Amino acid sequence: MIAANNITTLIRSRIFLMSLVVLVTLSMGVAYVASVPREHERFLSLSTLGSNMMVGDYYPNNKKDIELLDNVRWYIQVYNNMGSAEYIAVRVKLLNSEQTAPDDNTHTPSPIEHVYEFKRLVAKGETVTIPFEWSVTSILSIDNSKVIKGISINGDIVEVDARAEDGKDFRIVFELWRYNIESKEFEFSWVDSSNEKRSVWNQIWFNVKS
Amino acid sequence: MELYSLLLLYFVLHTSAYALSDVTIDEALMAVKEADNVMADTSYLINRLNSVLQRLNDPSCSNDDECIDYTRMELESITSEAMMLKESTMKKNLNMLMINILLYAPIAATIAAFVTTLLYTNLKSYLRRKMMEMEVKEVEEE
Repeated sequence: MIAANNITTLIRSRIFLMSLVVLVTLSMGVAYVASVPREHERFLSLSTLGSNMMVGDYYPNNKKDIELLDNVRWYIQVYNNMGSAEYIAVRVKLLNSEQTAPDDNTHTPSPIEHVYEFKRLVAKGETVTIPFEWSVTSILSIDNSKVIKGISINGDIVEVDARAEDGKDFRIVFELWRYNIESKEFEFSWVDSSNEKRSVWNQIWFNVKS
Repeated sequence: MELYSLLLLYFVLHTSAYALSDVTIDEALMAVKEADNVMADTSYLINRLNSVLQRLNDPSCSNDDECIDYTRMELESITSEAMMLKESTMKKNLNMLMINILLYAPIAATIAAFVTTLLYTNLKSYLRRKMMEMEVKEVEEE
């Protein structure tokens, strides 16, 4: 046991007072620094998963060929690490191999009009999973080409007009758009924490057989 | 002519309702983002805002005055709650910072200083004692 007398002597000692001043300053500094929010990497990510919610199993029968009314189930996942809630839109476009895809260098979206759109508000640090169930509902054969005239997305019938030679190399493109409160518009690109422009999109190729 | 006036009135009301909703969505979104920036838990507000957005995107809602009124009221409520949440979180953060700086930091520092001094004095007295116990031997030079 330390005697009360010893404690008083200890507290009055120069070494105690000096270390107390240093440690109080240090701990206050640490407490303040710990309370300041740290800058982190800001990004949005988009991924398209197959029917088992994994990378794979994108096609029925594991073939790229999709027949009329074949039911295809994918999942679109969006992760928000922008530091605050984001209002996002996932725009779905149906393209053939010759139509222009989004450009990663210039961060421009595909000029083709989207056929479907999912709008969601995503909390910071949240991953949202959007089921995407689709099938081709109408195909026309013109000469050697196949033209997709209609698709069903999550039960909604959408009119489309996409043509490909022999029905090969169609693709579904998912573009991630972010709502900009200042411009009051959805924008395809945004600026990340290092002030660089970013954009995100995915595509999955398929053939049609009627 | 009457039909034309009615159509015009419908168009004005319809577009103004949409415009008002858009403004309020922006305000609600901004308020939620501001609350997020001060580390508030906005998850329940985001769920509510998502259901409002879902209603607004439903074509049947745009023709239903009751639905438009409900979504407008809900958006206003979300905006005010987000602003209150931001204020309360800022106060909570400030209180926590003050408690950390003025209470926990000095307590931790005092305990650390006490332990440091105790260790220092004990080590010092131990070394002194060791020194006192040392035998002094005379070494004869050859």
